Amino acid sequence: MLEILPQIIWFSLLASAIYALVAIGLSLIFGILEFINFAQGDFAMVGAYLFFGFVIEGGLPWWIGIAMVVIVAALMGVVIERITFKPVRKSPPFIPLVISIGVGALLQAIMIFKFGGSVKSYRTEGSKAEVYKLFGDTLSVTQSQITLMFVTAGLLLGLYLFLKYSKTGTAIRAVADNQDVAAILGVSINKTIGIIFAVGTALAAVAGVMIANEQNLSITMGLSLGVKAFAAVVLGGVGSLPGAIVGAFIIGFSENFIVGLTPIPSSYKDAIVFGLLIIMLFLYPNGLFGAKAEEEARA
Amino acid sequence: MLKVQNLHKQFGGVKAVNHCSFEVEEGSITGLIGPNGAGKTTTFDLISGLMKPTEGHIHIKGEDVTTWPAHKRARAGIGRTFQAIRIFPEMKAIDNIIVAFPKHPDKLRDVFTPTRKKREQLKVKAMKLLKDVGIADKAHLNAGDLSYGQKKLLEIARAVATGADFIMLDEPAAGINLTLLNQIRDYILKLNKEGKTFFIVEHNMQFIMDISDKVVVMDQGKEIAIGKPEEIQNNPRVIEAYLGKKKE
Repeated sequence: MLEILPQIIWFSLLASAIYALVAIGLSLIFGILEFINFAQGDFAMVGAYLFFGFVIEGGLPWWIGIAMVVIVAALMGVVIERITFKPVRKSPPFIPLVISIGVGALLQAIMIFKFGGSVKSYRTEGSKAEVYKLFGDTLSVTQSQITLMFVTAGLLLGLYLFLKYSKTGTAIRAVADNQDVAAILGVSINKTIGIIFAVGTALAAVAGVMIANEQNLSITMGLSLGVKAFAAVVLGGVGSLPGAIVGAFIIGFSENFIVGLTPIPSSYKDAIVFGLLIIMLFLYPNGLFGAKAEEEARA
Repeated sequence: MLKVQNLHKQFGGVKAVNHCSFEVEEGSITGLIGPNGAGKTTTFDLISGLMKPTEGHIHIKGEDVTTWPAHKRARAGIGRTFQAIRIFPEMKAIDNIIVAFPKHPDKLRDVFTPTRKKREQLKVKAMKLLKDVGIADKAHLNAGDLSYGQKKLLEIARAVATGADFIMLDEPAAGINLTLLNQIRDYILKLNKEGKTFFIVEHNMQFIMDISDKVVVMDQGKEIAIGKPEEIQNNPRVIEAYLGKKKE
């Protein structure tokens, strides 16, 4: 059993990174606009297909492909926010929530239109992935996994520095706290929300590339990704970015450990993950990092 | 500095501000008084751009800003505080000031500045403002943990930090003790001497009559008297407006 442990840990890390990228976008958007964006998983799906279009079909080098995915996804996020969510910004949160479901469906339709409905893969015929064997062959890691992990770590570090040290980061926190006050201090609400969507969509798109690198591409791949990211956000405490990341790691590790180390068939893994989520929420009703929300509600 | 013309704000059938007109001269301290529900805070919201008027025009420094969004007006030099304090409780006191400094990045290339050096400069600037209002020793506490009076001082300092030369204070004297009240008054007078214009909503009559060059009185959304404090105190319409409130 021990010999498969390194491999399980590696898969857990990959899964956690993917969920974290999607969950951060969800959490950022929720932090400011107070609705759960159900299109977040579909943003990831679009990212996966964009990479397919640029690199596999288009023949661009992978690193240009990733950069293009980030740029195009960010622009897409800004445009989607402007034309769909901005007009209902003052409405109750369930209205943008329903709109986000519509946005997700629309993105799926556009991707079917462009790429067709059949399942696709990044692995072209005849190509062989470069694999490294570590720990006496107990761990095999592909070059693309390592690359994507570095890209993810770089993005998360960049986001952290951006939020903590840039003026825009402070402005984002100000807008999340109180839009009126931020506005009278000279912060453009529209611009800040635009940046949030650009960042959230770009991160999700990279997650999409990562997951498509492991599995195949399908139009509906965003669904379970979005749901798990949502679970990560809830688990970590809604509105807390560190919480979202920790939540993503708990889900990523528990599902891989359950499948890898127990005889439970992998088809049950989602059910078990969500069972765990329910138990955790019994113990921590506000999520792991959500204590502050409770304090605020009581104050 | 500020010219409000025929300003009107209607919520359904309620005329919160009813064809109101007045001016605030540059370099002055102008008071805005009136019974509860007279439309004073709504007027502030309209001037700072948090609400759009149903009718009328607002001119700042000769420019018609009626259609400008709030952040653009803030950058044009309008600062304000709120009746119910609105600081950022989760941020440190000093960060509450830093977030208000002008020049939020407009261009993408500014997004990843400021550098460490620029941050240090911002901190020094922020500390000076906190010192001016006497709460420099609280700079690294979360703003939410400050006392009520300290939060008020912080909010005023934050309005100053925006670089505004026209500052609107919504009830700066409410709910604080005399020492703090005098401290706030002295701070306002000092900034006024440095050239900042003030427009102050206040129920504390002694405070507002003492500090103001001019007072605007509102009742039921309309200006009913404008003049020097001593004229206002003897104006029969003003007395009626306040007594009318008492009868209810």
